[in-house]
Amino acid sequence: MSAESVTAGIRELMHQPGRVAAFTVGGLIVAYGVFGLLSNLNTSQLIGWGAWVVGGPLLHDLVIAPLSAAVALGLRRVVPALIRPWVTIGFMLSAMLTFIALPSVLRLGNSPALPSALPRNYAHGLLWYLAVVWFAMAVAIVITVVRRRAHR
Amino acid sequence: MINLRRGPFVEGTFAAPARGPRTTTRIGTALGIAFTVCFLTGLISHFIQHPAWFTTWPTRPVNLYRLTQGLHVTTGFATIPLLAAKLWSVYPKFFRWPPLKSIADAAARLSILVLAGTAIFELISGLVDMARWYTAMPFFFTVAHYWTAWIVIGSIVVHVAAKITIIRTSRDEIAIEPRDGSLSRRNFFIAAGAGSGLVVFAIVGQTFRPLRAVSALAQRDPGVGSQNVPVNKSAQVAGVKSTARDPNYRLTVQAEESISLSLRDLQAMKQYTVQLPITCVEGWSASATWTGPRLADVLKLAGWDASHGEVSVGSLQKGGLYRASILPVFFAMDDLTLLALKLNGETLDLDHGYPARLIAPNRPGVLQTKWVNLLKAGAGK
Repeated sequence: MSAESVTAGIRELMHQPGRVAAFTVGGLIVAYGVFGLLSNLNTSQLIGWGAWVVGGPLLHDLVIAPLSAAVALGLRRVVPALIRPWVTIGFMLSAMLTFIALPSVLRLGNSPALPSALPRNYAHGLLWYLAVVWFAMAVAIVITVVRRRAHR
Repeated sequence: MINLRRGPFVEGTFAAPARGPRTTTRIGTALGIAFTVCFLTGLISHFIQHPAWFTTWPTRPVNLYRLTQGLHVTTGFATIPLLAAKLWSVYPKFFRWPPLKSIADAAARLSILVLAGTAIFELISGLVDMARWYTAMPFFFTVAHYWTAWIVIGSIVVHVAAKITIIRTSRDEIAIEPRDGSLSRRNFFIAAGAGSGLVVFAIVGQTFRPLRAVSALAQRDPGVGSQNVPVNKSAQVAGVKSTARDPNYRLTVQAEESISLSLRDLQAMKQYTVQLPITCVEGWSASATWTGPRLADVLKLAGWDASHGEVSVGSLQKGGLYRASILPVFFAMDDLTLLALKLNGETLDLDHGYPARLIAPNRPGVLQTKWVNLLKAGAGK
């Protein structure tokens, strides 16, 4: 991190006015958002906000991504290469559906005084969607295997 | 010297045929469009609720807000799989070696943390809010969601400018057809698109009625609720269960003069029936048939005319952010704007605002004030 590298970087930017303009405009928009947060949230709310903003990427990078890498590694050991893309896609879609359904399935925001909110059995709904996904994957797998046999 | 470059820090640990600048650029482009749609529709919703001197909102088409807010929430949901795909595509960069090269490089990494963190914040806070899991958020959702959106949009502008060279050259990247069973780039795009589409399918029925039966994961069903219309704030939650049923209920109307009307007075006025949607800011909507006197007719009894300008609408509700609303003059004058006494042909349910509620075209549900007991010319208290 030498001073020269910084000045070299600045010199390089001088030749790219469009980029400088975009950095400036983008930076100003960010600053406006930060200003709005600072003037509308109290200290404890700001701390909570910060925990969310830092916690999101950390949760992804240190928990979700390694977990999905582990699943992928497991699939590589267990599932034959020919059909593995479909199995992988099945896992991706299942994970996504489960993720968006989770707050409703767990009824974390349920309020007895408001019966029309979260009116359904979301565990059932999620299982139906997962069933459709895996049915589609099963069909794709069968087609892939049959085609491969026909080529032989 | 100890070699710190181990495990995931070893180059190629996360190598995958589907990863690369082309993948990142394409998914990134879709994300840029999605966030722009969410930002613009979000601004619309914000400025309807917090008008500024330079903003205005029309009374027609009556379903316009229903469209923009439905688009806002649905696009937000569709973006969750896209963001997951984007984060996956750049994940190896998290373990890049050396972690920091220069001050400018440190600033670049920090700006990416800001972009990723705020983008995740917007999508997940929206998801959590839709499920009404308010206790998970140690901040007020609408305020934090609104201001953070500016940070996301600004960060996207900076990010695109910073990566413009990679974005441009990525077009020339040639796809690798994997033979070892790993996902090809094409299949990865299919998976990301299918994920997005499935998520939309699973929730869009909360605002697009024909799909309500298949949208099993929608947090609302437009056909479920008191009198088959969903409710976001019940009489019990609002604390008006006894005051709303009080036979001595009076509506005060203040313009040139101050008058007081009973429910029977309102019922004796000329009644109109209109079909208008209730459109929640949380993305669900339901069309319904409302009956009652025109709001303008009620106001005129107190000598109101358009020159008095906007109207404040007050409620029996004692507290809460949405206990009162301001109705712009064009909405107050509109023939479709009623003080509704009936819903789908029946006397308004307590949860829908009995004895009288405001129903106006093209307006968010939180501004369709229920349990109305005060109409007053001007925006003052």
